Amino acid sequence: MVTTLKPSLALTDITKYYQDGPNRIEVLKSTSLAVGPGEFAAIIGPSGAGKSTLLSIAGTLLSPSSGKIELADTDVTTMPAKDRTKLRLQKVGFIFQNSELIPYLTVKDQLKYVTKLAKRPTSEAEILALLNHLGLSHRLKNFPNQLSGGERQRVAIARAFINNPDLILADEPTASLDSKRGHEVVAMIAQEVHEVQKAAVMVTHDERVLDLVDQVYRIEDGQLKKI
Amino acid sequence: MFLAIRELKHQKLRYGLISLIIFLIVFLVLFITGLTNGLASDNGAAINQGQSTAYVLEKGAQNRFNRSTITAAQAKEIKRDLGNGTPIAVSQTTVQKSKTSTKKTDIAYFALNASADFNLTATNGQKLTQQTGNGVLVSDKLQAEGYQVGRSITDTTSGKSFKIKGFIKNQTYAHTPVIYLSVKQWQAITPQAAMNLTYNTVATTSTKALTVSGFNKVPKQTMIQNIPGYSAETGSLTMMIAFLYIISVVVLAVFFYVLTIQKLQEFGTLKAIGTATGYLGRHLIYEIGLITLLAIAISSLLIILLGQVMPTSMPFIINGATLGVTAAIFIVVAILSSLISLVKISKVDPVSAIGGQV
Repeated sequence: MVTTLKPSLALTDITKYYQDGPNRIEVLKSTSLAVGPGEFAAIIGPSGAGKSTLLSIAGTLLSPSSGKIELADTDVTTMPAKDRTKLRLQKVGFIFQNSELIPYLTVKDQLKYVTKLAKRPTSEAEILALLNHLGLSHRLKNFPNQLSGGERQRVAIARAFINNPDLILADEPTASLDSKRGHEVVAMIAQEVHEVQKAAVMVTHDERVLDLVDQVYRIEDGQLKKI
Repeated sequence: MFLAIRELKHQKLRYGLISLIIFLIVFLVLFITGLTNGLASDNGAAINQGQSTAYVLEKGAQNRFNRSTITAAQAKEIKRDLGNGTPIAVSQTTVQKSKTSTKKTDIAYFALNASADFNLTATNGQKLTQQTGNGVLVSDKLQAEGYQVGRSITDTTSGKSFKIKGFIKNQTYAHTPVIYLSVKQWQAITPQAAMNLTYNTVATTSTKALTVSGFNKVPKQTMIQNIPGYSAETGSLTMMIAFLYIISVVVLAVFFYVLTIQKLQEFGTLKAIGTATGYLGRHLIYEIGLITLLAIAISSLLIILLGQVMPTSMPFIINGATLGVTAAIFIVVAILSSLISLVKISKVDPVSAIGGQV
């Protein structure tokens, strides 16, 4: 599904290097990426190829050494850290490798917390509807350690979507799951992305889930290649 | 508050234990504070109570009654100079219930002629100014020793007896109960005083400066601090309390620092999903604050209950003001102890949430 709309995420000419003693390690070399609404892109590549760095830059967690980042029409390249935190809250939904749920919040409170942070008047019904949609309605009052790996990741998906962000970033969402559950989880992300027309970028090792995405990029030596 | 309450509820054991430690420390601080107040009051109550605001002493007496001698003529002059004054002879000795009883009680005689400027009222309504014959008013501390109104009290040295007409509350000097005598009664048991009457001090309510040379006018508070043993007693207790505050800062700081370090990954995630550093800082302060408040509330309640059941022989005074001040100091202590963790939290990089590394 290729879109003609303005991209939700546009990375232009991104370079990122780290100083390692006297050596300069280039992780990303003038990389560009554009993902539009309703598009689900996957980035694959070997370990250390810069997948996580690219995702961190797209999520404004990391500043590139050079290049331009645009998130939903906003140039965030030179934004101060405080504003970026706010922007992240409103425009970006993260799904982390190990779901990274807050251990002392129930499934419902995980979502309630982010809606409170975003100061969005999200109704209880909205939260319940989303959890129900993801098949979690019987788990509302459970804590993360009472859930299975697949359920935890589904809660993480719900948490990423609840604030209605423009961009979803998923960091190896299937890493801690078996192939069947991994496939289910990615299918769920794909379904949400297409249903509510969000842009999504997923970094993954897992080639078995690539049939669910719209576009696959391979990252090698700091360069992105469309496959 | 959203996160703080949920985390405290979820980790009841962990935070319950730290709350228990703080409770024990707060309890100990309040207990020692109560004792300090009690002892201080026990030590100087006779000086602190009553209308007098200052005491005139001989120069060089280093604010001690027993080192000051004022002749009757000098006392008159001081009285004239200040406008009012009650000359008092103070002497520490022992009494017993009767000539034949073997048990002696340490006491302090305050010999004076009561007037409107220096008057005290006993619990049964008797006043110092009504003291006649061989009737005396004494400290209620003697009640605990078995002395009773209407019964006699015998001066050990002279063997002469007085009759107890009433008990006055909180009348102690250097931890011993005070017996108020008229100057005439004093002379009856002290041959030297009968021959050559001298006093130790002149109590006054006057605010005028003293112009009679050779004497100092000493404020009440200075007098109390110079009662033998007063500073040594309160000083060491105050040091204990100060140490307990320092210990609480360290305990809270270390505990929350270790917890913070354990939760760095969690803080990284919270920051990545859009939590501001300020919010996390408040989260920590709320947690420490709630734990401390809980500890303060429980220990205050127990201390108040304990204050009710403490025997009168154990001086223990705790009041709302003391509780309030202690609580306030502990809140400050709690906030201070969070500083080191706050620095750590502010340095957490949200990028640590990606790729699972810290």
